[in-house]
Amino acid sequence: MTMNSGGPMEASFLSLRGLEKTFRPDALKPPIQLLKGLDLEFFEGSCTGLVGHNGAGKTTTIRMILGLIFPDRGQILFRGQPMTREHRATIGYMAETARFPATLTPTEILSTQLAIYDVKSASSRAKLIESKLESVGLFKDRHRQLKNFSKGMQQRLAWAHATIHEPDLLILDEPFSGLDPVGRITMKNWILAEKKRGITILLCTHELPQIMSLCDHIQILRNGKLVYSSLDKNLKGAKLYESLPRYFIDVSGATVAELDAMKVAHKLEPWQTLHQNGFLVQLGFKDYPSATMWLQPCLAKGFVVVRFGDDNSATEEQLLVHFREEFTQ
Amino acid sequence: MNAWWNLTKESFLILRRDRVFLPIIFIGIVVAVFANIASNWGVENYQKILFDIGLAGFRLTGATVAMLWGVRMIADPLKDRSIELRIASPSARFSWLMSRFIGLSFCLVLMGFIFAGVWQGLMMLNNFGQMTNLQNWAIGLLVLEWIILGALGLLLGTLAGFSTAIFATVALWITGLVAPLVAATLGPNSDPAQLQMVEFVANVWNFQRFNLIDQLEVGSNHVILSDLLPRLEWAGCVLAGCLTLAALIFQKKDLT
Repeated sequence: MTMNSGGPMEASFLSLRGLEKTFRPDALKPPIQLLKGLDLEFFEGSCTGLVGHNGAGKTTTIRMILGLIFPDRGQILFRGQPMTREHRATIGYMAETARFPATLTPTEILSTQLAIYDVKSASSRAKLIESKLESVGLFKDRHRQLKNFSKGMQQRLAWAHATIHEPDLLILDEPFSGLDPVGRITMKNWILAEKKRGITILLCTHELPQIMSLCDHIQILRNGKLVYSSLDKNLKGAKLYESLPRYFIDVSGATVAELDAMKVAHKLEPWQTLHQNGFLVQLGFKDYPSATMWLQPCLAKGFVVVRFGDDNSATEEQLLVHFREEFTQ
Repeated sequence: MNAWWNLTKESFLILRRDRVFLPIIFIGIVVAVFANIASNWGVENYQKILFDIGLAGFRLTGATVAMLWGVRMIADPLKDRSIELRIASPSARFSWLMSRFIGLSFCLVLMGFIFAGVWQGLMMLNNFGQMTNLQNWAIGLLVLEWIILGALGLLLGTLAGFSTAIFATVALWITGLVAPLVAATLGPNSDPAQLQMVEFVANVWNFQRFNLIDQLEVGSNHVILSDLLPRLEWAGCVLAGCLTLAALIFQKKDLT
């Protein structure tokens, strides 16, 4: 993760100032305040990760930027100007939950998209569509109705739909949702390619490892408020994610004192994290060799190695611990 | 204009490929076949039965699907959230809404042409020859009624969820069909206030204006422009009112 202070070198691309929104889901129910004076900054050419629990206000924020929801208070500035419909011509949006009409074909959907974005000539539209569908691997399915498409194919089409008009700002809402491992790597590579093009990206996902490996900035929402921004306060260490443990050994039957003694006796790499849960001790290491050198001594000593390997969810857990510490400081 | 046309085409294609489209055409054909069979049973009222069942069947079938599609033109994209992908763009909400309506109208007109074709077949089968001008107008007015019901469904779809909107649209249509009949049954002995109220509703909200079946049944083939003009004017006013209201509401609606 490359940290950036958001200093004077960066121009503010999109600013959200004091956004407030209250919803009344039902006439008989009390109103719910979804956004409580939210301030966010997105800088030109940067990739910003928007993180938060369910109901934190991420989707509401995105929908406000896209003009789907109107704020009660506050304003959205696009390159310093109040945002208008015309500004949305420079935005590409990939929605998490939105589904294209099932009876349309990819060609029809992209053709309408290009017409909306004012790509006038039909021949240039056809060429663009063909090359885009080729690049996302949907060319041979271009005339098939979407009702026969898998979730992965729909996601690939959603990516094509969001990027075909070469937007300056790309808003991605849970782009990795429902993808298999190959699909996730492909999606990550596509995002990296767009990042290389120098566009501004707003990435909204629950997957912290993806955020940490793709984004320049992180902004965390909680209950409609910004609670953490890497722009205001640099995270400790520029490569936080890389520094977190990725490989874990779960050992049963050992005490912390015994493991400590073993570390000294065998000159083993020290663990980065240690968690004890009853008889189980989990040791976390940042690289594979450091973790593997613990295996032989543990087995020789008669400890049971219950599990060994990398574990993304455990890494995320560590990351959350880190964030929690940051909030409470 | 390019965006408008493409959005309209998209809406038309969605409806043309909708799972309801082909069954509706099939029902139209079944109604025509049934009207033909039933009319052959009658000895004296042969033509009346044919026109009553045939055209009323077309009317009911078309009106039902128009109301359903009108509401679904808004409810479906809200449900599957595809609305986000089209509104989160430089295209105006007004353009999107009108494109939905025009696409719907095109599809209803297509359905009208198919039903007219079926009706023509029925006329040939019964040795009535080519459809008369009045018959053409009768089917044309039915299509106009469907378009208005579609617009009404669209308006109510912007205001409420699917179930409420479809219920309200059907209720309003039935009110428009029944009010003139109720007004005709009220005699001079009725309560004046009640009479005034029913007559007012019957004048303002009268869907019997689209019904030329009675004129066809008496064998009239002449199109009287002065008779048709007020019907068309009323249709224009209702259509403009529904679409204006729908556009105003949709413009300010949070698409949550």
